[in-house]
Amino acid sequence: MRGISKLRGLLLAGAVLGSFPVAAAEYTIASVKALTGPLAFVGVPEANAVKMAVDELNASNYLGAGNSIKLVSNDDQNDRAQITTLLTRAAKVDNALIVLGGANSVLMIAVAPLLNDLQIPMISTAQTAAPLAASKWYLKVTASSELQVAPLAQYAIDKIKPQRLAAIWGRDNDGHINNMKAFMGPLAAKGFKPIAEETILISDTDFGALSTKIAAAKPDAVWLGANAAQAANLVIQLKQAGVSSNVVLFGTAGLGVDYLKVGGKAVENTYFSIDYNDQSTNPMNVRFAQNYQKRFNTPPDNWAAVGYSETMIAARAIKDSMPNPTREKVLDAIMKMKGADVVLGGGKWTQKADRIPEYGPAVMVVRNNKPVPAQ
Amino acid sequence: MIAQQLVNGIVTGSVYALFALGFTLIFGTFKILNLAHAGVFMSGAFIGYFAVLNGLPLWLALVLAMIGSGLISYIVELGAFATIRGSGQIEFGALISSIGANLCLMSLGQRLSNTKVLRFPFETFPVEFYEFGPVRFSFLQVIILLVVVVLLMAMMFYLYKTSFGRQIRAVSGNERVASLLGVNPGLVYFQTFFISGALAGVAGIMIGLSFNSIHFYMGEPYLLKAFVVVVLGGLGSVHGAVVAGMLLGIFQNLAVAYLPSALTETIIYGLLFVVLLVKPSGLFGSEGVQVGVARR
Amino acid sequence: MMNLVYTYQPLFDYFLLAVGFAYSQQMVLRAGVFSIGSAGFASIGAYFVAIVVKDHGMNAIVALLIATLLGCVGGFLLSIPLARLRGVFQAIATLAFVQIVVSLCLYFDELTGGPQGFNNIPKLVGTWHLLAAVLVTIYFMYVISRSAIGRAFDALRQDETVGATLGISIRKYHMIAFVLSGALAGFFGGMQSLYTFSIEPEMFGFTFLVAALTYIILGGRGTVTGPIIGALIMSVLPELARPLADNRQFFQGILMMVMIAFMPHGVFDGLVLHLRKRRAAARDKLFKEAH
Repeated sequence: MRGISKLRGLLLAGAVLGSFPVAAAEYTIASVKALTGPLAFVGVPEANAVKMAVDELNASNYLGAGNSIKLVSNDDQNDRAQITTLLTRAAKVDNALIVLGGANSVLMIAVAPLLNDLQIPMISTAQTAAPLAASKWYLKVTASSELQVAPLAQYAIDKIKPQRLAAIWGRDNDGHINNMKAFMGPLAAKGFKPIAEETILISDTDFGALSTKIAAAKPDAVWLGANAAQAANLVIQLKQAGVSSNVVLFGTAGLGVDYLKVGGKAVENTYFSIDYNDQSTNPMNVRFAQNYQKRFNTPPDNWAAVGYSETMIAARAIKDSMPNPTREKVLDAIMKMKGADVVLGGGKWTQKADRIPEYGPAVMVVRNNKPVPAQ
Repeated sequence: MIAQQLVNGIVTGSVYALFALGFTLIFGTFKILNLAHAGVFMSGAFIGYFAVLNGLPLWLALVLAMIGSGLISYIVELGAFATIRGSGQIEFGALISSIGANLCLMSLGQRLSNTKVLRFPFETFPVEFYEFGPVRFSFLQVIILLVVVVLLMAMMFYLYKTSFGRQIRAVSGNERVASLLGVNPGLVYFQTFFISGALAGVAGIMIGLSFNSIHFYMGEPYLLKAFVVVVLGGLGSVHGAVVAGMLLGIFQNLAVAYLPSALTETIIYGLLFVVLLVKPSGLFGSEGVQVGVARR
Repeated sequence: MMNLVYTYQPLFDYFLLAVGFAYSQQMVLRAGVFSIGSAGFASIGAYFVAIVVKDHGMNAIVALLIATLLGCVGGFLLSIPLARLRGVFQAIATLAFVQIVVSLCLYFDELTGGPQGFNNIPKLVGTWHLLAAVLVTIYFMYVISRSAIGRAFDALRQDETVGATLGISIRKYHMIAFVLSGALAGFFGGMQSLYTFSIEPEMFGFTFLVAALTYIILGGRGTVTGPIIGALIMSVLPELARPLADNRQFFQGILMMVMIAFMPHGVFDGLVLHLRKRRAAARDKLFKEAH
């Protein structure tokens, strides 16, 4: 206990002097994610991957011999008061250089202005781009809906030409709403008007009535605005209600591996842009998948890949701002980052001027329960 | 399409009824709002899932889930309700302790599932459809309806035709008088909570099978629906809960089909509000058995 | 050291808000009304303040006053149909009211921002404002509990029939309870808007009302201090349980069960009862020794 408080005193002293001791320094990354509560299915794999990434980086002396990354990982229970408290603690007590933030869009929008007071960069999973406007300290790991969905919409217009398109999306999640607009907008502009538009709640599991209604409209294509397991479940119920097995499905990067696992045979013919492709032969992806499987006894999902990637970005930013990294320097390094190694998309993460990054998500299609590049 | 929606509604409604029945049984007998019922429901789905995953046939998984969630429900009673029964504060205290119990169950569910959404393996249940004119039935829907009907009849028989049922009702009327008459209240508590939990467990499996999703948060939405069902049917009324469950299922399906889906919730709760004001004893409750309604 | 204090400032702020909502909940329970409608009034107050302050540049104090008034009116209107109901029926009817408010806030997204929430609300309220508001509320609760209204509430809570025979108008006092509870909820809803940058419909849903009830039941229903203790426990508990990581929720659950098992009247009210009993026992003993 005394050792810890001594260390803390040392760190505080370091912060007061504006720099850390040069030899054998510890650089802190704080992870604030929902490890319990309804969003734990995102937070837990992310936090696992973050822990793994930090251990790997330290084992390989990523920041130079003697230097190490210290990870402070906390559970925010998807609760506003706790996120606010934990961010304040990360900035003022742990003296973290950067925070790895959560997935809940609404909460990220709510806490972004706080970053201005705390002057600490936070890179988050949430789909929404709205917090970017509220604070220059807020950063996104994943690309925006528009960016991910635009190539998919173009593909649909050029190749699929859906005549009877139905759209279903979660009305209580702004990510789903934005994605739907980004997809349906360009199609409607080209004259592909939807024949049915239905909304669901992200907690829904029973789509019996909805499926029957959609089946009666006989769609040839369906837009799925839902998360992985829910989207798969929706497709299964649509097909059970009599929607043609040849129907073309469209979805977003959020689908990922769980979608294929839960959906099985039903999700053939799904076109989606993908954040994490578990079939990638990129050496970093292969190593990541093997290590994750070994350590946590389950294959990594989309969220694990996001968590791993954001740690890589944060660590690289710290390295880029050596010696004597400060929060400003770390933020600056991320703003200038080009081609950082990640396990998302094509494997290279590049920040852009509008702070919406790019990593080349491709349009994929599901064949025999595997995502393959769409021709 | 309307015939199809009616069929869908009856099937989902019957599962609502099953869930709400256990809830209303405990409320009707002991005046406890058991919020941990959601957790017990989830436990049933989990037990069934792990049983099937370990190679047991579905019927055996169902039986195990019934017994397991029945016992869990009784553990909730011991940990959360038996402890405060003597204090005279059970009406309010039970809310807190059942929220606590529910947190514990959800936390266990989260650990077991590793926060993931689980689903029964694809071959657990044959996917077969029968078509009668415009209406499609799945084999699963038929089985669900059958199981629910059998369970309901068994429960009605147990509650109204056996001495156990009379004992439950005696204790619910007045525990002290009942025990003077030789009824063992401990046994009555055990049976009531066990039955309530077992019903919730079956409902959990049914929901898990038909909607492909078993996860540690699955109980919450059903809890809110149970409130609606229980009030519409009349608090504590068993057959009221059954009919109200069916009605809610049908109404929900028709609302999705013919109304803007974003307004479904508003309409359901609006309806609940109106029913409460017009006929607080519920659509099927008799005025006589009510507790605490309008004393003027 | 100063930094450690800073860290807990947000926690303290949210605790103050929790106390405000807890009093709104306690107000109705005191009068024997089992309403859980506070969440709905808080939602109305919060959205009103957020919209007029951000989009129409209204003065925050005026906006808060109107939000309070809206809460009053809402409470009054809701009390009319609910006069027919008692106990759990009131609880479920008010639950329906809360759910209706939530779903309407989701539906009218052009006004409320829908599920994305209403964002970028200017932060005009800080710790000191919250603290002042809570202190005034405590004083107000204290005055009420000592007044004729408070005594009427107590009588109605303990036995409505007796209260009525004593000439207390049930309808009138229940209405007063609804109006005061609505006012507090509307006001603190508005404060929350001006404190948290953004609000969303689900913030004022089932979780909110369960939390508000928890503060009261855990702390104590009959005293002014009870809700403070309840809100304090529920604010500190997640932090205490933090080192348990994955088992955090389990521990929180167990602790709630244990506390209510040992102190069924709530922690503070239980303590008061206990002390009172001990004092009475001591007095009896003295009395016996003297004779």
